[in-house]
Amino acid sequence: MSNLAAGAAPGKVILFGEHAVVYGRPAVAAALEHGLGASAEPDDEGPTLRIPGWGKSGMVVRLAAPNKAFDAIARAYAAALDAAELGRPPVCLTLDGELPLGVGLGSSAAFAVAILRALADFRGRPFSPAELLEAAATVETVFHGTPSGLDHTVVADGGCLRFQKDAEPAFTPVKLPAPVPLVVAWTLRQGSTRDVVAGLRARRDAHPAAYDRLFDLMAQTAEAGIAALEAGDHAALGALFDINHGLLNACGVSNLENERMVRVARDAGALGAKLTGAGMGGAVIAVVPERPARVVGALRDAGFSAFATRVG
Amino acid sequence: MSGSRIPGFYRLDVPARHAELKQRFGLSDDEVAVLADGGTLCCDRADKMVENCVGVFGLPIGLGLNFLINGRDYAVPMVVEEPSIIAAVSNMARLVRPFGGFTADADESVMISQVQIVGAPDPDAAVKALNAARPRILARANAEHPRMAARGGGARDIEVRRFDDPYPMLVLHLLVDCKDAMGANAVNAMAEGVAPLVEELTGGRVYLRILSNLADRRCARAALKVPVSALEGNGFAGEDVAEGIVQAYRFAAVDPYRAATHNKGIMNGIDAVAIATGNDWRGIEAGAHAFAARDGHYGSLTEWWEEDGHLHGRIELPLAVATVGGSTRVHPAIAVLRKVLGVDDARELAMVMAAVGLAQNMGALRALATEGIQRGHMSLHARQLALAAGAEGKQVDEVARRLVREGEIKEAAARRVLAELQDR
Repeated sequence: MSNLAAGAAPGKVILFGEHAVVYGRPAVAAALEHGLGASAEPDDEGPTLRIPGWGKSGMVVRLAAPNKAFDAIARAYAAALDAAELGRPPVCLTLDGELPLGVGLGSSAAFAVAILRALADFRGRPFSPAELLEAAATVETVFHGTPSGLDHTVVADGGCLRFQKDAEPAFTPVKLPAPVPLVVAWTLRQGSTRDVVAGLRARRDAHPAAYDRLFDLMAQTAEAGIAALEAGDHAALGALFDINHGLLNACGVSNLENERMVRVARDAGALGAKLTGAGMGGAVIAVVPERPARVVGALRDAGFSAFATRVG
Repeated sequence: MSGSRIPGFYRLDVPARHAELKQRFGLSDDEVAVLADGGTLCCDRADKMVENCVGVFGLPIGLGLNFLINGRDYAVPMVVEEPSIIAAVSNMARLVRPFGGFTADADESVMISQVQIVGAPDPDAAVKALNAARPRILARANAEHPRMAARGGGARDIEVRRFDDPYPMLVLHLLVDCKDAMGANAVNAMAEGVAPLVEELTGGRVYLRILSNLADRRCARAALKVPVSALEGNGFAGEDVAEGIVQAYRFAAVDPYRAATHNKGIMNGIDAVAIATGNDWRGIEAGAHAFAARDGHYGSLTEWWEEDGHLHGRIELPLAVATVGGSTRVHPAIAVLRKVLGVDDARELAMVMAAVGLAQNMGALRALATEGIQRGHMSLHARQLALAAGAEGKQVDEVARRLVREGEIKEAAARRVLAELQDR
């Protein structure tokens, strides 16, 4: 048998500054250890994308035979082929990975970057870092309209980055002495990001002074968080997670499920925990340098999905 | 003058050698200090590397010189406590240098990660299911360590192996291109990551998930060719030396007792470079010896033969070595030695190590062969002296043996020994 082309990209978590980032404050995000992977092999039936683990019995998307149910995936795949300047080649991509979808862990950015890397490997010419980011933005647009760039930049970089939208440069690397041990928990019950962002916008417009002070505190927490990350200080990082979570709660983006996940994680020994991403459900992250299995177990016992990982 | 041909280097004192390093390899005073006394690994760092740390152990660092490999010059850092190894490889590299030096090549950096599957209810069906799911298994493996694919590597193929009696099991191999990393962490993470999928596909239970040190998809090869006449020296004819080397190789090829020693010598050179570049020499050793027994018969890692008036030598062995990643950063001297060696990537490092192994083997076989020839010559000469002294029949061999043993192959000694024998 011949070798298959390969591509992959990690998932991501926002460590500090979600929501505040919309209002010009800094955010910090880091890549997960695992994500989505792809392999590519020749296929006479033209461009095909197989995702055996998604949907009830797996997805097979053939660009030559459109299927309305998988329309967004097909359009994203077509955008990736165009970005790779491959036309409509006889190639089958297979995508797999245990990254939960649609809970703010960067699955759509990982999807974009993984298939782009596999296509680049298939054509025998890698993207430059700049080309990859541009191509990933094009593919992600199919899912998200106008992505901020945070997700696919972190996912393509694979490390830990500070982001501030009007800063120059917008992205700066955060140097970690070692990967940070986290437990990630999530629930599939999640509000739409668009609605959560719009709701916060309305509340902030009604009470700008109060919300701007919350966002400033989130910015301060993020900067302190960067210092804790660079020092490898897990205790400080945990305390700052707790502060950031309280501020997000004050902004009204944490629901009962987020609160329960945070509480269960802390009670089981996490040094600190916060929601990550849009909130109103979705995912929570906790700093757990020791005995992560206990925290993962407690979260699962409470009815949530969870895994231990290291980020950055 | 090229970087690796430094005439008279062995005659310099250590400070003068440091001056050469600064001049030829652009090392700074600080970098040289890292190599000198006291610049080694500190206890603080060592304590983070191993458990119950109580100190740091030093070893000599030397340079293997004169290496010309694929037309490029290398001064090869070697860390080893045994004398003569560095001299031997440098001498052989100098001997082959006028004839083009070494040619070498290396495979892509493909590591094998193994997944052990026990208790699959229908092994035939399980093998089929694994092969049919090849693209998905590879996609899952890549998902588990995205950095590898980000660097242009990744899981590229699978193999399914079936064992029956006495212990039935299936073994899935992931073949992972690790680029310039050794890849141990990555391929272990991939094997762990595919395990749930593999259990689902086979209905069996996964036990071990770990890399194989028999990295036979990641071999390096080196070869050389010298005119037989170039082997002449120290009173030995080139033909005799070449014949001696070939006979020594044949001994190792047929006899594992000899092959073990033969290959040990090769690893004297290769391990020394592995240590100097921060690579796992135990893993390389394990891979080399398993590879030497790949046909079910433990033999030589090298081959030597004569053809068209030339002595030809070649070596092939797995060399899972890295130029990036954790292992290459453990010791402060490694970065400095890498600067001296000047390889661009892991495959180039593997080629250099293969050439060093071949040079070491040539040096060892040449010494053993000429020693054998010398002993042969001595015996012949001693017999002639014994005859000249008047020995007859069994006395000839007895006198010759005594002369060789006493190391005094002279007419007077022959007469004395014969007289002693006749007095008895």
